[in-house]
Amino acid sequence: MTINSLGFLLFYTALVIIYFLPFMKRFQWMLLLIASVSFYYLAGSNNFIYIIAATIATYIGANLLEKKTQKQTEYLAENKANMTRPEIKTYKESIKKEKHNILVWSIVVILGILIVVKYGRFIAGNLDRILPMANLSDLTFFRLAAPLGISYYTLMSIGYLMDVSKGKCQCEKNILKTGLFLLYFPQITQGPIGRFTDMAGNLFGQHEFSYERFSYGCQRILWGFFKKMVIADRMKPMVDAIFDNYQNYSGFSIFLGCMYFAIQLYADFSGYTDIVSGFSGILGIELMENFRRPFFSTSLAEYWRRWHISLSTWFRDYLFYPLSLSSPAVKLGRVGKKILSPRVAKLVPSLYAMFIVWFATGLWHDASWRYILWGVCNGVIMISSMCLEPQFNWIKGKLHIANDNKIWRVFQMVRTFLIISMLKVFPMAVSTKGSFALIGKIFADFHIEFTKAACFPELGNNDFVAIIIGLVIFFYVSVRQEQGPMHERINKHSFPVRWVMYLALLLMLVTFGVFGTEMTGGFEYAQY
Amino acid sequence: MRSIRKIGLRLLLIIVVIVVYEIGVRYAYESYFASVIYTNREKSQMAGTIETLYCGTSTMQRGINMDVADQEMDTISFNIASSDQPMDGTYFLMKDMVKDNPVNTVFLGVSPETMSKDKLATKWKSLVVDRLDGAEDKMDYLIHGSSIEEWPYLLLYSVRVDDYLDFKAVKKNITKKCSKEFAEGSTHDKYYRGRGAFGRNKVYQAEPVGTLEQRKSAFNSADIYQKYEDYFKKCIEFCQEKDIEVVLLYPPMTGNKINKYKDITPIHDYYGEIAQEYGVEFWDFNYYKDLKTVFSNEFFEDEKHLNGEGGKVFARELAKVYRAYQAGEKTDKFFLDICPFYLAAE
Repeated sequence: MTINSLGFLLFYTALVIIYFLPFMKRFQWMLLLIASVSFYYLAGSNNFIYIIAATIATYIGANLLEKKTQKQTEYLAENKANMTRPEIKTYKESIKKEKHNILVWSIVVILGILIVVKYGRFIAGNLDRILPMANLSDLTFFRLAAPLGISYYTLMSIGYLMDVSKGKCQCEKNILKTGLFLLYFPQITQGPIGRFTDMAGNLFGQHEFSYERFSYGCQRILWGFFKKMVIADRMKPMVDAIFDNYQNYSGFSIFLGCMYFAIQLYADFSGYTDIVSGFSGILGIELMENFRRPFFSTSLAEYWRRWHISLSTWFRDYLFYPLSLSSPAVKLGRVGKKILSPRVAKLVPSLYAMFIVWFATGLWHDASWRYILWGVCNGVIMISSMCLEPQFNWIKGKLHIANDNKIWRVFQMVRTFLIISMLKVFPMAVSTKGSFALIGKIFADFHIEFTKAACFPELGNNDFVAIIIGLVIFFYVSVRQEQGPMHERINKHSFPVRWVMYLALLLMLVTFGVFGTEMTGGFEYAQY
Repeated sequence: MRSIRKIGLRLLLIIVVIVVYEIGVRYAYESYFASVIYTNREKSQMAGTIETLYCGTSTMQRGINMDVADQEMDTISFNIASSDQPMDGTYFLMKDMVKDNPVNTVFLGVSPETMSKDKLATKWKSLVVDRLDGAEDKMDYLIHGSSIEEWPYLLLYSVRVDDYLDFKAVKKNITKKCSKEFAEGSTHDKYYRGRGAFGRNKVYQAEPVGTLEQRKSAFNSADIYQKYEDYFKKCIEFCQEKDIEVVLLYPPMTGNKINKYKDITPIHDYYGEIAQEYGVEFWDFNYYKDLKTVFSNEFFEDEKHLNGEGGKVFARELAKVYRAYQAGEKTDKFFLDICPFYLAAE
């Protein structure tokens, strides 16, 4: 069962009815836990061992961390008056060290599960190349199937532990509630990667039914389905046709395919986020926004601030900041000062952290070298643009280009989109070798050809019209969203105007959406 | 409470708009010669009179000429078979017909190939849904015969339209549907032979019958999808409950098709055992004594489907067996213990 199936709609409708029964208020979080466990099972995962292990490790880790914090507070409250400053500092340092050990061990357990089940095969495969005699790939231990949502709940769990460790939030005393936080059904399969500080209040609180919330939730669900079924699902066969048989296409078609895939992936993933945010919003639980019109970005760095926000902010807060302030980064900075210009030397700790973050981002997406390369390429482009910023500014100055020049901004957006599209050669290939073959094709066999077979392979008339109409509406709504929240604008209109819009969108969904058994087709990002 | 009323009213509005849109799209885009229009129309016109039903898949739908069959057997019959019709669909269509008609005989076509497909295309299921009368019957089939994911496709014609830009077809459909001929029922597909049956004029051009070495696929009763076997048996049980005579019927196939099976005997035995279990007749026309002489390739449109003329021939041959059976004679005399093509090949 996926969230875009009719089965899920029935499941969800039943849940909402029970959830808002007057006597259920106190038990709402329990109902959500039952629903989440059921959804996890119905979504095809009958292996609960990993998520139970992650929940227990998270629960124990968070509670131990908080106990240490409490111990420190109580001890200092009692003894601070009798202690000297160095003694207090030493005591705090010892507690910090203990907390650090707890945190590290909890993360080792949680991350260890992820490494074994998601990266085991990859690691064993690579080790076998170095030590062919070992034959590690044949070991069952390295051939486990990654359970649904493990990449997402692992990050949520680590983020929560780090927040508790830093005292940003209090730990949850109820293990079932910790389980609900990790397993909450709208975000288990592909995020958003929620933060405990943002979610706990809503997730464990009591909620009254709100018509406004219901109405807004339905708007988001409808819009999400439109993006998924009219744009993403219609474009998928065309994208698959190009990349499944890329040998038969020119570099031009392959590059178009990369652009199509960028759009398809955005419609698919943001559609999913809208749908789950709508479903969750109706229940009174707001999920983190995952997208802010990324194709309007003027640079790759901005794109990553607008795309998969919950992932990029997670890496920023829990990996980039700690890394850039770590002692190796500081030491590197000192070395940099000796051999580099002062401006670049200042950037060294950030560049060091960025490289690791992007390596990890690639690895998070998939256990393969092509994804690592994809992540590293993202990082290298951003690092280069940071290092070369003065040179770019000099050229801009010479060309008399103002930053607020509209044509310049459009050029930047197009340039960013082309870079993003080009980088899609990594996820779209079946192997690292395949990625290089795609790049080779794009550069060595690039000839522009404006035929239907070259530009829109495998696309019927109906598909073509559906995609064009879908994209025009999508673009218009995105432009309006850039100017302010769309639902507020919609709500300003009278009832008939509003409903003409809703019904028009619904009928377009019925007319141009991909239905049939294909409707059960999952979402692209669920594979990560 | 206020919210529930508000939601209810809006839901009603959505349903009304979708229903109106659906009717409009169906009128404009469903081909004026689509057989389902005529089948349903004839079905309601004949309601209360149909005595004999022909059920099954495309081999039954294209295998019987209804006029000849009725003339030869003195019956009033209707054909509810359709391409790749799932057995559960047959069951619900049969129930639907029996509800409104004094049915006393059912010829239940057997199709091992369709029953071996665990996942039949949703479009074939839509042929069942479109032929069922009333919301209750449709709902019954949707719940028991399809997965919930197929519902939008089965319920809404608007999601089935392949080309919304084919305005030429829309114009033609609307013009034709507004015409007198359409109301009279004469605008149907030229191969539609009335009362649900089909019969093409194409003649099968085939190579001579192959040798044993050319036989490729073997039938294995384990390949039969359990759900369809259960529904096949449910069809027989339903008829027996209602005192309706059931005859299992395997329409004739070309020698080429028969030879593609490594051995057709397991199919014959599989359905023969079911027939024996329920005490019903099983007439396997691939074991018909005169199979090779009567059903030559000229009466087929392809390897396994009879053509227009073949439908007439089969109806006559079927009537011969049926009359003998009605007269209390043994029907064994019409059939051999082995497929005549195997006799020749070996």
